[in-house]
Amino acid sequence: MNRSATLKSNTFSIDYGQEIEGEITRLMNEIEATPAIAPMYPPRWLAIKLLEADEDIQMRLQVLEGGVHLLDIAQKSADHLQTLFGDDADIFIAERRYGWINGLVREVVQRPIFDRLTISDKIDRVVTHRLLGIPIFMAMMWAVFKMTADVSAPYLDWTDAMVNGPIARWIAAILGWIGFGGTWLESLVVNGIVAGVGNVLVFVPVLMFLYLTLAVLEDSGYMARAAFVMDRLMHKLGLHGKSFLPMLVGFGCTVPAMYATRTLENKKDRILTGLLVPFMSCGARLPVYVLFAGIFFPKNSGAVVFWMYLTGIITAILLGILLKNTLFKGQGSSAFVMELPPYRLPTLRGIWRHTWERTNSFVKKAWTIILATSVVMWVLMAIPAKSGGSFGGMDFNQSVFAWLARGIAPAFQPLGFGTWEASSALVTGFVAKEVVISTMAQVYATEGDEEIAEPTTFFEDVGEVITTFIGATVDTVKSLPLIIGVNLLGDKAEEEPTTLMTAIKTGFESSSGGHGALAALAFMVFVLIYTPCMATVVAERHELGTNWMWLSIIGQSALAWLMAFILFQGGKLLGLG
Amino acid sequence: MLLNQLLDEITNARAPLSVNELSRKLHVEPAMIEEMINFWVRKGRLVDDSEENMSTESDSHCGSCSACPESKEGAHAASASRTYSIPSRKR
Repeated sequence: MNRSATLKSNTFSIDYGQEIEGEITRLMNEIEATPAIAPMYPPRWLAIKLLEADEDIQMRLQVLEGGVHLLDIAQKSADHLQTLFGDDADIFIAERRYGWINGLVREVVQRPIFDRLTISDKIDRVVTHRLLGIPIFMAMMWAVFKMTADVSAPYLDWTDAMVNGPIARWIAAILGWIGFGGTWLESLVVNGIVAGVGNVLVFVPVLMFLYLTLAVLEDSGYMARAAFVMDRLMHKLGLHGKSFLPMLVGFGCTVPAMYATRTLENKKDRILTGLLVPFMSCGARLPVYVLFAGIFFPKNSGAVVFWMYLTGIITAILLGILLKNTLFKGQGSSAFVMELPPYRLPTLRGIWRHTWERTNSFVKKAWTIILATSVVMWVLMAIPAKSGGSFGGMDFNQSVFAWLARGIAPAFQPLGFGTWEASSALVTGFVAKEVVISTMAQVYATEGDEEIAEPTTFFEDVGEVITTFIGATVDTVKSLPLIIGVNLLGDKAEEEPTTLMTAIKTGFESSSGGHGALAALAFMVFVLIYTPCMATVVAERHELGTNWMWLSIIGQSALAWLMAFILFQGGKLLGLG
Repeated sequence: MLLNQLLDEITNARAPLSVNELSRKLHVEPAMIEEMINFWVRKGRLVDDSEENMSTESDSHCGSCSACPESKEGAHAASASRTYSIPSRKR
């Protein structure tokens, strides 16, 4: 008995239907009549592979004697079936095969397959529920931002005290020790680098908490559900269902979110989503919200941060609907299938890796772009605007930087923050949103009356670093119940205002005619809506083209101004703030 | 006609679908739904969006935005789940 005969007797057959079976038999006869091929493969198996146009088999047969002839016959059979069925033969072969497998599973698997729900299925029934899904997503976001704003506060206070306390003192002492005390170099380092870079680094704990909570949600599998639920909403609103996936990426950073719009196959959908992505609040904007919410809304800072993120989402959705019905009219949105990964218990290692990667990137940037911007700003603030002053020897209020900033400040007057300090922070913030904080720290540091601290020794400082860190850790644990509104910290939960916070509060109260809180909200909305950073502009140009990039920059700036104006002036009319 | 039923469900859906939803609708195990989706991807009747995205991503890189880790895995963690859609005729 030859090999093919053995294989023939041991195999079972799926019935592919009369027409396909007829072609299989015809091909099998041809195969068996080809001596160079017949002993090598089971004839039925080979006939099916040929009808399926299996590329590997086609290549192998081409070099065998009689192979080309066999391939010609197979092609004719496949063409005949295609004419008969109106589609490729392999689809009907696969159709039969899947049908057979499904029948077998139903027959031999004893458990009630379709009634059995895994834990993931049970959770999904609630989390991705058509009605409950969105409130659950909102509740998750609420928890994330309460955690970020409230629970991280003790560590934020600790790093602030460290940067502006012992670290600033040590740097000043070292400069004095090597003979640069009282020189422009000391001013550059203390008022430029420490005030600029240091006050951005102060927010590292806030970002770590944000990235940590996002990592938990991502690693657990919830984020995929959030995208699924929101995509469904987007779809109902007439936007492309897949728009929310890039937007979700935008919570971390707008740049990869812009590149993630490539998952949308239609160019118009890609452009539309690319225009909406910058409204999702990236991590770099968080320090601005935390600082301002801490100054003007100390008791509700978590809620304010949450509402800022929500404002971004709502703005993106509303603008998306508007654009979809105007500039992008006539584009239908197609449905899609999403593979939802099973829920997993996040590992400490995985969470730490995600948190560290993102935080590390933030810290790296502090030593590159923010450092460079801080130095450039310090130089501009050291050059006198009028003759008579000396380099670094006059009040920064009289500097070229202040003079330039005063030129644009009137544009922000109707928004409640028409000072040169706030205006300059918004202009430099175009480079990156972290620079808003470093600019404010620099411009306000020169104006505030520096606290005169008691002289301390190095060892006293080290002791203070350690004891205050332990205190911050204990307070962080105690502040966890703040997420559900339980305050175990008492009065400690209320942050002691720093010199920078006091200076910002005074500046905003003064520029807004006593409506400081309203002006602060308008400022935060402006920061949320206008162009996120230069890197985003580059990504927009790359992904959307130059014209759309300009439209995006101009549109975002105009919308930011308009929204801040309505908020401030509307709030004033209603007697708020 | 499971394969065509699956494709019809996706084509005619009014909202995004999950594999589990399709499994319940077609009374087929989720693993088999995934296999059938892969078949349609091989046939070009569905597009694996993640593959599409990655294949054109080689010339792109994250900018200097601080919140963006350099690794793709981290950057796209939020969108880690795969999506499949009907390819549009006009790109």
